[in-house]
Amino acid sequence: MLEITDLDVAYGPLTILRGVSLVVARGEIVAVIGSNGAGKSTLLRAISGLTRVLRGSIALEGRRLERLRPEAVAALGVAHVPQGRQVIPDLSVEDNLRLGAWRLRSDGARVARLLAREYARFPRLAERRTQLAGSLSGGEQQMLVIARGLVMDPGFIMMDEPSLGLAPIAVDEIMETIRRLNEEGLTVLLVEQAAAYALAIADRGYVLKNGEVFLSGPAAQLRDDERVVHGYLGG
Amino acid sequence: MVRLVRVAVAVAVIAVLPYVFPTAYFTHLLTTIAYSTIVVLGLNVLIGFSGQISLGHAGFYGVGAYTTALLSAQHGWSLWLTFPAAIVVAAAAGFVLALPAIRTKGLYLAVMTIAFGFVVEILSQRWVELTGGTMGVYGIPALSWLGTPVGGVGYFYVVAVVALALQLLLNTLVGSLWGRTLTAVKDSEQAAEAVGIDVLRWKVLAFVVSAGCAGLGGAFFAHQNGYINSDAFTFSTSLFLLVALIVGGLGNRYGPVVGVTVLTLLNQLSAQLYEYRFYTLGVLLLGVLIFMPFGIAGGVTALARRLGRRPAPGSGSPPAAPAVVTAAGAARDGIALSVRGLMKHFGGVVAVDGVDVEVAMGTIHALIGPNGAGKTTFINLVSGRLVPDRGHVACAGIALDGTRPFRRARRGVIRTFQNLQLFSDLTVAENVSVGAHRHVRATTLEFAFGLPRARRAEAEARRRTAALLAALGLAGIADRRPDEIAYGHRKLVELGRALAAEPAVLLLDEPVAGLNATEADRIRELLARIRAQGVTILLIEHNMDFVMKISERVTVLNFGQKIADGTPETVQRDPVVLEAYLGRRHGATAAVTTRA
Repeated sequence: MLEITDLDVAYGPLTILRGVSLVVARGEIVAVIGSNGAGKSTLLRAISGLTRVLRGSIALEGRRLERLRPEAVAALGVAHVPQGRQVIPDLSVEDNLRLGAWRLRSDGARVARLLAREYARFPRLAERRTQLAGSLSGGEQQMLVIARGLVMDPGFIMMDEPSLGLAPIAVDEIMETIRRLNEEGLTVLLVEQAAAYALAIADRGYVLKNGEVFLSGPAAQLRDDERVVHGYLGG
Repeated sequence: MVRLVRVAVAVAVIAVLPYVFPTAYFTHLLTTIAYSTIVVLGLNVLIGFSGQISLGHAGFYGVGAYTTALLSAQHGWSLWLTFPAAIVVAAAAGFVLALPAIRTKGLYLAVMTIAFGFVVEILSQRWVELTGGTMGVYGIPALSWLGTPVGGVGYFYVVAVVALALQLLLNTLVGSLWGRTLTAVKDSEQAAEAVGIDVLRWKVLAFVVSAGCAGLGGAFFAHQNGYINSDAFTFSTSLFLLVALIVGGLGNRYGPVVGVTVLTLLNQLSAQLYEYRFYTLGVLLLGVLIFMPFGIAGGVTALARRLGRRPAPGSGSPPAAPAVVTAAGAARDGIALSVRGLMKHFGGVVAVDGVDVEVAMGTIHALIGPNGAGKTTFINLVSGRLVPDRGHVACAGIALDGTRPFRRARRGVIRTFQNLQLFSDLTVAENVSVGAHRHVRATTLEFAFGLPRARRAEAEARRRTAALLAALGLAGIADRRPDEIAYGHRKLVELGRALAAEPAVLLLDEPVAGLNATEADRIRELLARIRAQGVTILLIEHNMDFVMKISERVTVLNFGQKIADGTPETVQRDPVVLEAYLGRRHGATAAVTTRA
């Protein structure tokens, strides 16, 4: 579904990604793990058009993305759940969600159905639908950005640390939600610091180190790899 | 040494300038540029560094001009006295305006300063007995030396040398911890208060410094022609000053002199097409904003940075085992933080509902609970950012109730922010160094002249910052800005800034969120070392592996109430906690997380 070949990304003089190649097949959950500063978020930003690509190609179902603007990438059904709770604080929960459904805005009935689906998935958001997003607790804001990604009814979703700042019980729920979404047919690219959780639900994984793919393989195999255990699981 | 050469070059340029076109007109123009630069240098401190806008700076300029004009022309004071008087009176006006103004921001502040400018303009027009109105004040004595007037070129030299001296003083000032503190106030008032910076005082200070500079510039203007009237202190003068700053480069040290020079010369060139003058200015401003959004000087600086900067190599700074915090308090026993009956509601929602917590001196105490349980609100109440409806907070037996956040920080109660509050215009190292603010004793003047106490504070902050960056593994990215680094690293910068304050009680809001297990282990070791030095830590965290390994005691909140309190072992087995927070699968996930 997604094929990245030999990708280079730089911010000014700083090279962030170097020759990264990565494949996500339809219906897979692929995890990307790595230390802070390894380039994980930059990878997602490059895919969704938020960061300029220096070299290499990104293709979704054969269609090249690397020169598209972010709104064009989103229009293809690619959802990007950014890191660090980027809700729009002065809009209500409901309005934040409606913004997520922007590309479907002409189809009111469908948007209403999608909103209802996300409220059913996250009852806490339904309770707070009229509240300003800025007044939510950290964990609730995290739920909101995930729901905002889902409400655009994507075929492919990228999540940047969805477990960040969530209570253990909520992390379990989020991981369970991701697994279920995947069973329903959604393809997922998951960036996580909670590597143990991510590798538990992923089919395959990539380990980024200093902007390069350091390891890759089936998730089960990575979980047992000495280098992964010591480097990222706290061995 | 480089600096000395630069000053020598500047002096040489000043010496030669009047002879480039040796006419009275050109000398007059140069003098105008010199004193306008003095005014805009001050404006840059206010807008560029403290982030407060002024659209009424001609007011302060006018106050300075009238002060020296009236005292010298009508009361016969010596200019040795009237110049300081002009600075002092203008600075006092800045102080008086700042008191109400600093409570507003953005547009409201802009409108308030416009109003001030109009007040001065109208007083100078209508209070004819004092100012002479549109007729003005005549007979303002020219500057003289040993009874001889210094003349046009002499006067230019005096003004230019003063402007150069002011430029150098401000360079030192904004390049020092003082300037970084002001930038911190601009970037995040919350975070600035949290390290003990009295934000209101610093904002007033910026107004006072800025108004004082405007007063000095105004005084030079008054003595240039021997005559002033109300026409010189209008709203369009304020606009000219602001536009000069923006064209030159807001927040750039050399923005003022560049902007004033360009704008003044352009004004003169287009003077013959009088009606097109504002048109030319408008086109220039638009052009600069489109092609050089940071002004002419800003554009040059950015270009130099791009050409000169190389990616930092893996920075071979030795990871010297740092004594991260020098012993925080004498007493190791007793209660470091006592919270009784704390209560806070927002509208109909009770966020914190009568919570009691006692944190023993020198221990690590964790506060856990589901999302939305009121944990961050609790930290906000303890740090003073929110005022509780009821309840008491005391640190080492001293009541903190009703005190502002910066006072609590000065008592050693230091916090971090869950939704990061970094100073975006400062580098990683500078962010951390501002954390040491509560230990800095040097005054503004000491910083401006680089006196020993300021130099020592600077060296001390540098030393602590280097040690902390090494301990946190941030040494390799010390010179980057927060928006250029990974989320987890930003988290560590927050922690580093808090540690630079040498806390007695450290409040951490999710210190390892966004770090992987291996990175979290490193922070755990660091915090254990800090505790061993006598620091008390209260932390919110969802990483249970981390919490259970590091804390002596755990308090669990749900819906604003305490539902459990005890050792990690007892809390972990508490059925209520399992149900509300950890989840039934916790046994299994914990095994995954702590594997190996």
